[in-house]
Amino acid sequence: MTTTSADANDRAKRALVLSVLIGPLGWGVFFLVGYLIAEAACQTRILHNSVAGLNLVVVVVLGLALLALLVTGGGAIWNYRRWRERAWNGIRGDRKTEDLATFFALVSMALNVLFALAIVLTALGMLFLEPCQWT
Amino acid sequence: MTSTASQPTDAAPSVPEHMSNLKVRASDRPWDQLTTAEKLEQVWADPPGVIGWFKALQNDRIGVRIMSTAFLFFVAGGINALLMRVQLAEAESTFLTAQRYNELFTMHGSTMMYLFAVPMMEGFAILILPLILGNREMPFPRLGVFSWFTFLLGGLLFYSSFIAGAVPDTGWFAYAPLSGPEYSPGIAMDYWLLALGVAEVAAIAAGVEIILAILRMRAPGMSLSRMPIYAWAMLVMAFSILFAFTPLIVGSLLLELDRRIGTQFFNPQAGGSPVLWQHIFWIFGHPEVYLQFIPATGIVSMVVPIFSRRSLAGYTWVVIALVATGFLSFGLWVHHMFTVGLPQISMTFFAAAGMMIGIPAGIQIFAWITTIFTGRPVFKVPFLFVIGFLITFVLGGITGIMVSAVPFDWQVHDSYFVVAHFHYVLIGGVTFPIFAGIYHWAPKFTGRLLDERLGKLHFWLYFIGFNVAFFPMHISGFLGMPRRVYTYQEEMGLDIYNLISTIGAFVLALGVAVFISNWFYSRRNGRPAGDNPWNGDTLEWATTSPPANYGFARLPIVHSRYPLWEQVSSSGEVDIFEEDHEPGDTTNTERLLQAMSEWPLRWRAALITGAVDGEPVEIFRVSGPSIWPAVAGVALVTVFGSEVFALHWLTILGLLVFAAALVGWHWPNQLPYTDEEREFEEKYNIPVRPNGSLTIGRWGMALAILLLGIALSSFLFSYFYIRLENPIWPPENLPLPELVRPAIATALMLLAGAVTWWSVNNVHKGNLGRMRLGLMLVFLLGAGALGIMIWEYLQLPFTWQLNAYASIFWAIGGYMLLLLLVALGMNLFVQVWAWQGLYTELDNAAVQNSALFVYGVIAFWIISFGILYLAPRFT
Repeated sequence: MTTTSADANDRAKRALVLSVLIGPLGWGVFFLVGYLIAEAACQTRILHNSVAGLNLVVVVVLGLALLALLVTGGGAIWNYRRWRERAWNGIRGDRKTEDLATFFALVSMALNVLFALAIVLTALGMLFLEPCQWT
Repeated sequence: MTSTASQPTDAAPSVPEHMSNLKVRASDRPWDQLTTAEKLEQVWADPPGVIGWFKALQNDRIGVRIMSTAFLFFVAGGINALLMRVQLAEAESTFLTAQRYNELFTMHGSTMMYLFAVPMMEGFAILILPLILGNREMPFPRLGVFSWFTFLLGGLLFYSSFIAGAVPDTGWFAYAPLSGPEYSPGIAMDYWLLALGVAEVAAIAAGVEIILAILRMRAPGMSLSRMPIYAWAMLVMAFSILFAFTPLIVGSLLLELDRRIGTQFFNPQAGGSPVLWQHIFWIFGHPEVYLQFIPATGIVSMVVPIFSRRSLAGYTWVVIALVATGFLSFGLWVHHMFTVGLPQISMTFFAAAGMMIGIPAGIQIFAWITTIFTGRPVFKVPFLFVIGFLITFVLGGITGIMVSAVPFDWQVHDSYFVVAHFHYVLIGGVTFPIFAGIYHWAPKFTGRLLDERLGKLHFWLYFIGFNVAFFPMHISGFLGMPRRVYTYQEEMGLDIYNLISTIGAFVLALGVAVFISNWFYSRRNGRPAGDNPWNGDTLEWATTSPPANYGFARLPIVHSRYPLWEQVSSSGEVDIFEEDHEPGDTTNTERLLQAMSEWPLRWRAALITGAVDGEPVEIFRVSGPSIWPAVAGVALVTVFGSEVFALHWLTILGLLVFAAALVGWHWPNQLPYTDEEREFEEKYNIPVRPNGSLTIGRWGMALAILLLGIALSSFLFSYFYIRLENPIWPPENLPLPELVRPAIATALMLLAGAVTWWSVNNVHKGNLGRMRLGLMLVFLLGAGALGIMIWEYLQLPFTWQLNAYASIFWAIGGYMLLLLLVALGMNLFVQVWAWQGLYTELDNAAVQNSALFVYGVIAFWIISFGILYLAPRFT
């Protein structure tokens, strides 16, 4: 294998691993940043105006949720296409690499869907609750 | 050769002669007269004698030591529980005092959470991973030795609190302010913080080793998509350990500083917050449950297919579930704080994550049930424990989803319903799989099967005893029985439920006693196991029972998820030495592994493979026996232990010995790079590293930097939390931090980074003189930055005792200075060896690793500088 193709192979493998992390990291960033904004807003009384009947802190966190959904949803669609291409159109090229790619595409797609669901579930509650009511 | 069988047959395929490992004893014959297997056996053997016992580092020996120690702590924790159950068997009992009861529930919970479950899982991994992965050893066997000594002595230090009459009594969570200096004076809480703190270091050390073994030391061809589920589970567990235990160590340090030197992290009167402790603790505490449960499911996923006699249904989905569980488990910590008093919007994050985690758990359960229902189950003891696990864990999981709903949690919080829930999860979800794993793998390592009748007796006593003990707690909890209270009034009507629970607890304990009897009985009288008593599918069953010191003489090649079931030739023989190709061909990997079974025979050679695809990357020398890891472990426990009694001189002595031991541990033991190595490299197109692996070293250093980064994140989380608690920042009219000196120090650090890069570049070019010059300059620049920052801290207008802001300012600064000091120490030793001519253009792993550490420290420095010195100017 030449250096160039070895580098390309390494890059492809790194991309496989990184694709797995899109969903969990998309959710993780939304979760931590959203939680910190919510905590900070409720502790310091910032972001307390209303927009379209919703508290501003809810609007900001929902906006963040939308961004995270775009990332995880996009990741899910992209990986679904990769998976379908390989799993339905038959295996091409080096069998070992293709097996691995199919596996990672399925894992990545499922994780993206799962974490997109987690984001939706988190955001839904915010539409019904009084955000900064302390309980 | 193509895979022919998708499912195992009832009869085990015959194992060809050349595959068996020859078990030999050390021979008195001259080296030249030994066979290849005998030479390998000697090269991989631990040294004999008493000193040899301290030096021993073989993975099976260390794994057994860790598991045995964890089991002893399990028995100790169980005895604590039985004493509590006797107290609660009747209303208003005087068997124990309230104080003794508090001590016992603290010791019970702490033992089971810190000293039993996680170490047991790590011991399991160190014991069986090299064989399951098809390699010869763990990547850092000395780290395993250090981990065991630290764990054992840390645990003993913790239990010595009984002798000192200062037993911790604030629960396994040690909530502030109860655990702080005002409400827990004396040394009991110092025992908790320091003894368990050192045991946590042991857990992290083993975690690092497990990650590297799984990612870089698999058999050729074992890509991530073919890796046994057990390895996936251990990988998720090991990463979770790094992310969970590190914040706890930082939190414990902050609490100890509050207790010992008057910092104010958890004191609300000085701007601190007791709720900060709860956050830090549960960031560890909730994933802690999953990092016990995840490896347990790994064991289940290995046992179920073998005893169902079919492959695991939904392999890929189980991997997805494990990875998802690992991530989601870190989004649950406030799940334990719903009654603390939080905004509703905050709780939605954690309630949602709590419910979501039911999905991956459900995926796994359905995968196991499908496997069992579509298989042909054999109800041997390991399988019985798996069935017990499925029943009890599902019950615990359902109540877990119930308490993730905030209103329900408010009703049952701190009641016996929660005690029932988490015991169903932790005993049902963790100890049942542990026993399944022991019955399953013990024959591989002892050479004898555990007695089946005694095993079944053990199972039924354990299963019935467990349910009798813990099911009534759901009811007593609903009826209002609070946890952590040493007695209850007769008129509460709780007597009968508690009496039943106590009877169940003793039946469960009887089950454990039967297991212990079975173990000792079967070690002498058990039936010989043979190599593959269960017709297993993974690589460990391809070796002898017990395995040879070297594990595999010839490393296997994997092209299936179930190599012993699917890599079968047309003649019915298992063939794990050929790649998947037409007969007659021989690939480079096959030739390489054949050659590696015969060379080198004078040093402990193991194979590094690609993290993703499992392709051969490097042959390296695994480090050999040494006394220094044991010395380092003893010294570190001395450091922590002496601080319990405030013997600072002993702490300093311990630190010096620890530092010396680290130097001894890493002292180069260079082997010449001979023509043999050069020829082997050229012939098989693979680097040979007789003086340690560049790859493993780099990955190890990357993990160390990750750990230090997690620790810094924990400090910064504390900083921001305290910031939120204080409307004015810096509080109490303190001036903004001085900028000039820290800015100069930062500039010096950046310059040191650039010179480090130049130095490493030169070693790659073979310009060793410039490399040495660069190392020296880096040391001078770093020392300059250190001096300036020490000067800066000496000029500060406040001490750490003033308020929480001052405390966290000093803590983060102190942490950064410590990292810089370590970087300078590392640089100094690399310089000494560099001036001795140890490094060459090809052999310079230490130079590159120390450079990586410098880059990490600079990145942390810049982040800390921005947050401590710049951010307050903009808020």
